[in-house]
Amino acid sequence: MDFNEQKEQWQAAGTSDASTWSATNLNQNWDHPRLRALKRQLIFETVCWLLFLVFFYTALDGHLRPIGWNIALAVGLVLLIAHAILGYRLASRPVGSAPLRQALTSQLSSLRRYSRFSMTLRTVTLLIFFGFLVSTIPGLLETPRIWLAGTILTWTGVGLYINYRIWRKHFRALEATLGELGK
Amino acid sequence: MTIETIFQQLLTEHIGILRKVSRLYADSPADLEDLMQEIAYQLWKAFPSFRRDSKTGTWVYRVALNTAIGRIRKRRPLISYRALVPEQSEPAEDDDSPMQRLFAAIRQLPKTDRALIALFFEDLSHDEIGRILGITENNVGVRLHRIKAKLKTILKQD
Repeated sequence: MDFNEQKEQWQAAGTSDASTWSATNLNQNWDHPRLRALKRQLIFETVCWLLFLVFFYTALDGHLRPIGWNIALAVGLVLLIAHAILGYRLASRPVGSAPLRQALTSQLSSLRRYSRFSMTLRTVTLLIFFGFLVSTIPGLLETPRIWLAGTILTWTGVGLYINYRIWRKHFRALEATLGELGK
Repeated sequence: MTIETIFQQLLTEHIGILRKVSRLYADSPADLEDLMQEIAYQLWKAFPSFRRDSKTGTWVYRVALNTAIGRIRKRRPLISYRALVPEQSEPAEDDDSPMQRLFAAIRQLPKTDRALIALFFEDLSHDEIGRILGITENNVGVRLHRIKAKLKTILKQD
């Protein structure tokens, strides 16, 4: 089989209706559905964190809690907003015209950096939030209240593990493709 | 002439590449449309840095493959239509047409093998294919030999 017939079929495929498609899509500023969805998610997350940032002090009796916990929680919330914006920028960054292997390696390395930042920030902010909530409870590390600290740490651990599993799935898909190129 | 007009002309001229690449990596007709838009978006983003030191078609292939192979999807559809993904705007193709069978056969290959055979069908040299994928010319030759054998078996089975 010399594949000449298949070459002809391949080269003839996909050429009709070109001008209509490009004109329609030019009107959409070359946006694409995944980014539109991510933009909605970004706006929703940012509004939620901002509302929480504005109201947590009064709603959760911030004045009764140590100032350090208040500041730490506010910084954590600001960083969560920055994290959401960074995630959107990462998803919308140009893939460019570098060779495939180089483009995938660079994408994997950016994702790994972002995932480390993301998992650390989410875990630390969750711990700060729990710390903020229980900061007025005296003798937290004494029995029988130690169970409360244990529950907090367990739930934080579960959250971190779920986050890690999601990232690992993405990495494995990219690593598998890079592996194909390396054979 | 504005940059948008120049870009639109480029896209019109090379829309076939977007369609073919999307058809190789999309899971459903809706996903095919999404992927085409995603590739167009990435081409538009990369367009200002396009130095025209390579053929335009080769540049479009580079960006299209980087987008299609590197994209991360939150979740895959429960039902896969991969073998059936048609070209939506093309005249209706018979499910058993040679072109449909060719696409269905290529989609059974691993992701990077699909890219390699697509570039071979475009009549690109081993050197050009190697530069697009970031592998050596020698590696292209060895892999193409293996992929052609695999594709031949798939096409015969079908």
